[in-house]
Amino acid sequence: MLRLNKVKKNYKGFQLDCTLEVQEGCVTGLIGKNGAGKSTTFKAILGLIKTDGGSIEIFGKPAGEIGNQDKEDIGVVMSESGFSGYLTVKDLLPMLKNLYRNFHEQEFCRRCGEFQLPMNKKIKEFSTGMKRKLQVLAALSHEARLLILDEPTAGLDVLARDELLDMLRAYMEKEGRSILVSSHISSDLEGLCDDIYMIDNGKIVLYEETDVLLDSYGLLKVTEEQFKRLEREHLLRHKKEEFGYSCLTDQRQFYQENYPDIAVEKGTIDELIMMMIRGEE
Amino acid sequence: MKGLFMKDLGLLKGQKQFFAAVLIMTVIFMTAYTNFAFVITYITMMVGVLTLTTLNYDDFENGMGYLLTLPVSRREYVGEKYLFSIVTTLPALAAVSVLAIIVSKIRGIGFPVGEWVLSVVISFLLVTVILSVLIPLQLKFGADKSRVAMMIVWGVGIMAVYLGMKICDAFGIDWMAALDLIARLRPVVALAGITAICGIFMVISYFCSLRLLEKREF
Repeated sequence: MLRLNKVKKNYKGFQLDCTLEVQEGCVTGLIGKNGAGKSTTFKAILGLIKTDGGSIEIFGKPAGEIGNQDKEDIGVVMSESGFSGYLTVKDLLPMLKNLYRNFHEQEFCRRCGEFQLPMNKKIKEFSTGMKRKLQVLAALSHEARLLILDEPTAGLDVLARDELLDMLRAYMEKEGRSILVSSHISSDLEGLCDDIYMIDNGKIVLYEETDVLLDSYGLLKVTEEQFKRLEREHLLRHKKEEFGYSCLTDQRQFYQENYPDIAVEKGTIDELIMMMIRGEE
Repeated sequence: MKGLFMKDLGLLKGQKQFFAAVLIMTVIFMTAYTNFAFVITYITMMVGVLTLTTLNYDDFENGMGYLLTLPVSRREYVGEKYLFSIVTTLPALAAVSVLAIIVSKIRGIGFPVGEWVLSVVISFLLVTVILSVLIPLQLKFGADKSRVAMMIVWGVGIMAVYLGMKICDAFGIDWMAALDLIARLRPVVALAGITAICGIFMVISYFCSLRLLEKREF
């Protein structure tokens, strides 16, 4: 569905070098701290920035050959921009109707009502969460095959976030669809994504299926002495702590079975991110 | 393209106060002023600037980047802006010109056809030049920086004219005679010439805008 191969973008003090793939029928998450390169990756995919190397394929075509007809099959949420604030939701209807052949106007309006988005208020007067909801509803309104969602849940309250995630799950019930999503709320991704890429400083530092990440990865809390005698082969990262060391492993069970005296925790995705980024190899 | 037009019409719908101001100004000028040439130029300019307003509004909070993720190509976006400027400005110019000649007759104020034609042509030329310069500037620099860029362009333009005149003087070229020659042209020839110049301006401007937008990153 979407493939990035060694996509490079050079800025002063930052270099993106990203390889990732979103397969048909999958929800793929992209996680990383602020400034890690998530939005740059999204912009590269969407042709909003020129890349300095590598290749991007969408629907099996080079990104440069993607035309308006293909763009109708893509739904987008961007973290730093959206519909012009000087329009109202009502103004968007004729525009979307003319841009997308499969625009479901009634469904879109119904969902706007459900999410309490006023039809006649200028979008610039919306809260951040409302703007985000509007973009998500628009992305879901035209039978897109691929959703590219940069922080779709940012600024939403817990209830709205849940509703929105449910909508994304419902969207995926139809065959032949995929989502690439970024979020800084890892619980969103845990419950939604089939696989996850972690990006740091412009580079993909980890790729794993979510189930594997949650079932096999773990955090070891060890003293200095325990750390010295620990088998290092399955340790991805370690970090000095007051009590000794925290270690990240992708073989939790191995340590649970072979080192019954050390504390082995399942670890949340947030903790895994922290270790991948702050820990030493 | 139609979707973009609908968007821009939506943006204009939110400009009720602006349209009310244009209407009030038109009524005031038409009833209280005698200089109809000025009225035609002023109102045409006001309406011409609307296209720039839509550009500003598209760019609000990086909105243009998002717009280009929808089924809208950069080429289409640029093309629509020029079409939109023509579609909004020409009817306004036609309406205010017709209104001016009718009101001048009703009020019994002398407004010779020659002067009327000249006002229409000058307004047409001015609005074309202004839009041809400002649309690419705004696409390149965005709303805020384009104001500075616009001042620089005007400054350079005025300097160029001034230097041109000085160079003509230095080489003994009588530029006043050239102006007289233009003034003596038959109206049809002058109108055709001005239209051609406006067309050339717009086409050059369109290609500059396209190039600038294609290079722009969001």
